[in-house]
Amino acid sequence: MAVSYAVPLKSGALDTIVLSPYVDIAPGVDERIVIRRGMLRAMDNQDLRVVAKRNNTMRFLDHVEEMGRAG
Amino acid sequence: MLDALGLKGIWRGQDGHYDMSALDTLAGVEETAAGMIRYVTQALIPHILRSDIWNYGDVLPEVQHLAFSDTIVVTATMPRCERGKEEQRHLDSILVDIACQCAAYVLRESPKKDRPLVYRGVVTCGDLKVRTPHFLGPAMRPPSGTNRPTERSCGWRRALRQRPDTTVRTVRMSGRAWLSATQSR
Repeated sequence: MAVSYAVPLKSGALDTIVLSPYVDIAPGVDERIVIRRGMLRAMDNQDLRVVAKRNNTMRFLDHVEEMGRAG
Repeated sequence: MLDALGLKGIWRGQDGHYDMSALDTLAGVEETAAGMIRYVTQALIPHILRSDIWNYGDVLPEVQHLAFSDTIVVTATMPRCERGKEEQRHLDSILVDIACQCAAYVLRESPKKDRPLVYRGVVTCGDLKVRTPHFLGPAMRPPSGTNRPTERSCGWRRALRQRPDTTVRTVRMSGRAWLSATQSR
């Protein structure tokens, strides 16, 4: 449910513990895809600030997926 | 404390017309928080965590939530009393875990709504007075204003020390769980 991660801030990154929106959904379960798509839809905006947040969020989800694959 | 990202323009649909569907999402997300609080207060705390906290007095943690606009606050509190440092750290870790359980399900459910929202926020521990709908805690300096983790941590504690009516406890890393990987405000 929680992973160590460097959270990007405006002035740098903060190493901390981040809650995953996937909670206890196992890797490969479709619900993960639904959550990811929903986040993309929610941040479907070309404003550069939103684009940065969307990219950061997707990068974090990729990290969670990677952690899941690594076991 | 969690709030939704990108509320700017949320009341306008793609075609420029008013779109109030986000209200349904906000209500649904609040119900998720309320449902999680029912779970932790009726099942998790009395049946699973009780043995971990029995020696902190004959009380169980109170878990509450408040929603306003796109913000949701979840609190897990115990009555204030003198405790040893280790005891306080142990108790804090339990309370933080409770808050994280509730917050995590808000993060999980909000993107699945017809009108999805993305929540982000931070879980922290410290002194807090709760009498809903009022939550009173010490002022905190957001960590985005400084450059290094050590400075952020010191800056936070220093800011807290400026309040003579608050007790400052060492903030443990496990007591600060970010809820999303986006930029802070």
